Amino acid sequence: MQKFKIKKYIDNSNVSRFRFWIQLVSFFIFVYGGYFFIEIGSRLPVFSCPYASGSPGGCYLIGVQHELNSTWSTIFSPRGISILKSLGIFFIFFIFLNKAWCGYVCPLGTLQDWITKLRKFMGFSFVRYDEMSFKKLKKIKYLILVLLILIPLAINNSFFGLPVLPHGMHTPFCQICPARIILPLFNGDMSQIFVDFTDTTTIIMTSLGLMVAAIFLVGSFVKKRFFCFFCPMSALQFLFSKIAILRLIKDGDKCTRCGNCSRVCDVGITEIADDVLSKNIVKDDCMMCFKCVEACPEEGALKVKVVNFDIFSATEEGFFKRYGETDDPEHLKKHGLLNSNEESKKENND
Amino acid sequence: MIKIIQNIVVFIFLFFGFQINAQDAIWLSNTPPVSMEKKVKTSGMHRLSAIDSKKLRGKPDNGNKKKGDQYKKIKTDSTQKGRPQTTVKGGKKSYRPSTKYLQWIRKGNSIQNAQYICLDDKTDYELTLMSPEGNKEKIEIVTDSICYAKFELNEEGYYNTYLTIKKAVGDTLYVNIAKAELLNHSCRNGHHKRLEARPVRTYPKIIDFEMIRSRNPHEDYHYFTSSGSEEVFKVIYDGKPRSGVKVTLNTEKGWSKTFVTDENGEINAQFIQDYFSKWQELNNREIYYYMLKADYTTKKDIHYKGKDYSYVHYTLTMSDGYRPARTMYASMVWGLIVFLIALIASVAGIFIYKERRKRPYKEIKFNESNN
Repeated sequence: MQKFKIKKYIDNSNVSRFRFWIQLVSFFIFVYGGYFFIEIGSRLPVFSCPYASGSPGGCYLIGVQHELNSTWSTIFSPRGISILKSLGIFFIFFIFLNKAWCGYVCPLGTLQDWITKLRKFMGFSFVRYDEMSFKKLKKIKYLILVLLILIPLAINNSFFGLPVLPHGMHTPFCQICPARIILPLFNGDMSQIFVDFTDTTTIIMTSLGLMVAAIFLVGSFVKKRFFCFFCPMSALQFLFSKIAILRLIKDGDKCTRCGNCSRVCDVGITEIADDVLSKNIVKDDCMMCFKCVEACPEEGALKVKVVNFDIFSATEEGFFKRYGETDDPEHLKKHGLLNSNEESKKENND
Repeated sequence: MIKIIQNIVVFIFLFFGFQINAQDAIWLSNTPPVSMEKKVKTSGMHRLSAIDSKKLRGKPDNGNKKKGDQYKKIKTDSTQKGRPQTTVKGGKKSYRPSTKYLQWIRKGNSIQNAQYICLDDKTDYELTLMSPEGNKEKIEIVTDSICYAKFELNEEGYYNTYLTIKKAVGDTLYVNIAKAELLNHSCRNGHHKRLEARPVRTYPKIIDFEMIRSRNPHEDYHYFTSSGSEEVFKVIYDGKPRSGVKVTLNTEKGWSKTFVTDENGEINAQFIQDYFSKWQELNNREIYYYMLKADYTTKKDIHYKGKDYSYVHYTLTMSDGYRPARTMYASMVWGLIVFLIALIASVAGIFIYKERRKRPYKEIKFNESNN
């Protein structure tokens, strides 16, 4: 009985508010934790940028780029075991939270959510990709992931007799990653805003990095979770997502395809509403924020599970507690359950 | 048999003698020891260590001078040769404190940790100061609690200081030459002689083993070796370039590299870019020091203090300062420019995109009676 009460309390709770506080604490830890002697590790599945002096660790991508910056003979020697060891550490971290690392922990993701809040506060409208653009653009993160693996390899090894790449591209993703430039700013360090004039390659790469950082700030202002859509960490995480213990499960039989879930999705995933066949509904762009579960009014249609235990489920009671029993367009719009077309339609009908 | 034993003894002396010299480079430094830091000021563009002498140069024009009068209404007369004379409006000569420049004798390869040493009377040494015009100038060694060389620089241009220490061991005469190039220039004195920074002067009759820094084609008095830059150094013996000489470059930050001179007696040394700072703390006038050390042994019959020697081993050191690379701070300005342009372009792009997608309101009416 007690167990049932706790489950009911969780199902009726406002996870978004809980998430806000988790994000705030995580941001503090991952940007200032180092100042408080917190050390988490250097193979994290999240943008804990070592370029920021207060960072308590390092993201896995910087590690893998350094490790792959080796000759084939090194990689296929006992020293190559360190690459597998790093992947193992990354996997151990990742397996617990799955893609919720992005939705709850990533400081860059949190920053984008705060920029979105600022936009809302200022009253600017946001943009969403149309379906065609969405399908095309989502491939970019896989391309970046492949390049960040191949480029460090191509610095020390010739592919098909081609000349090796310049050493200036040693950590190609870090050079263009907005976290490298933006997160140190929170430590009062502006030293990453620079163009490295060491050689032509570094000039290009660091200039590109500054451009990406600027585009990140502007893009996040007009599009929710703008950068996550192109994030190679998200692509890498998705490769292991199926075996993680935190899961988002959909019961297609209970789904009425009302579309609430896809409408509240910050990334704009439509499959969450359209796909009634898949059980594991975590898609590559999903950040497991569980806004979809909150917005689902169908009893048990969407569930968050740890292995096979339900920890948070969609319930009718929870839906109405969170959103209220109203069809006021302003109220629905505020919660993201009404888009502009529907709003105008509703006004016309009235 | 005696000859063999003699040769072995010579070899051992040579070997250990070389080791002693290799370990204990003696060089001239512009950096004061901690105990003298407060007394010493920096002077001129190259921030040489200097000290103001209380004694006024020349005689005062009258006895009614008030404190500070010597600095009033002074203008420079650039028509004079050498350091400009200072005159007061009205034609009367003014008098100001003469500046004495200082250099310390240090021992050790590490620039940060090298000892400040004194030379005792038993040591056979000679201190020479050569002016930009090639004249021998007065230089004295002050033997206080800390020893230092004290001298005046009255002409604008490169002065060379040489400290030569000789010591005989076995069959070999060890000659340790410490050289420093001191550029005396202050922008207050004008720039009418700035191109005279280019000629490099050597004095083979006084210093037979010599090292020079080749001048940059566009070099003037404002030129400074910088972190990350390339410099050409030339080793000269008896007035001719000497190839195959090992030259080791040590920087203040602890970086060290050994070069061997080519057929022109030159080494092309690129200084490691070792100045990295936060933007807020960046100081482009920060000066670090480097020291070059060249070792060279030659078979030469020489008569020294009534004895004959078959070999001469030279250890030459040359020290100077270098600044942070200009690109280091220029790049941050460029970084900010690129960032701001990208930011503005992104905002403009989104604004134009949204403007173009605006559609005028169009009412669509469905005739439901047809359905």
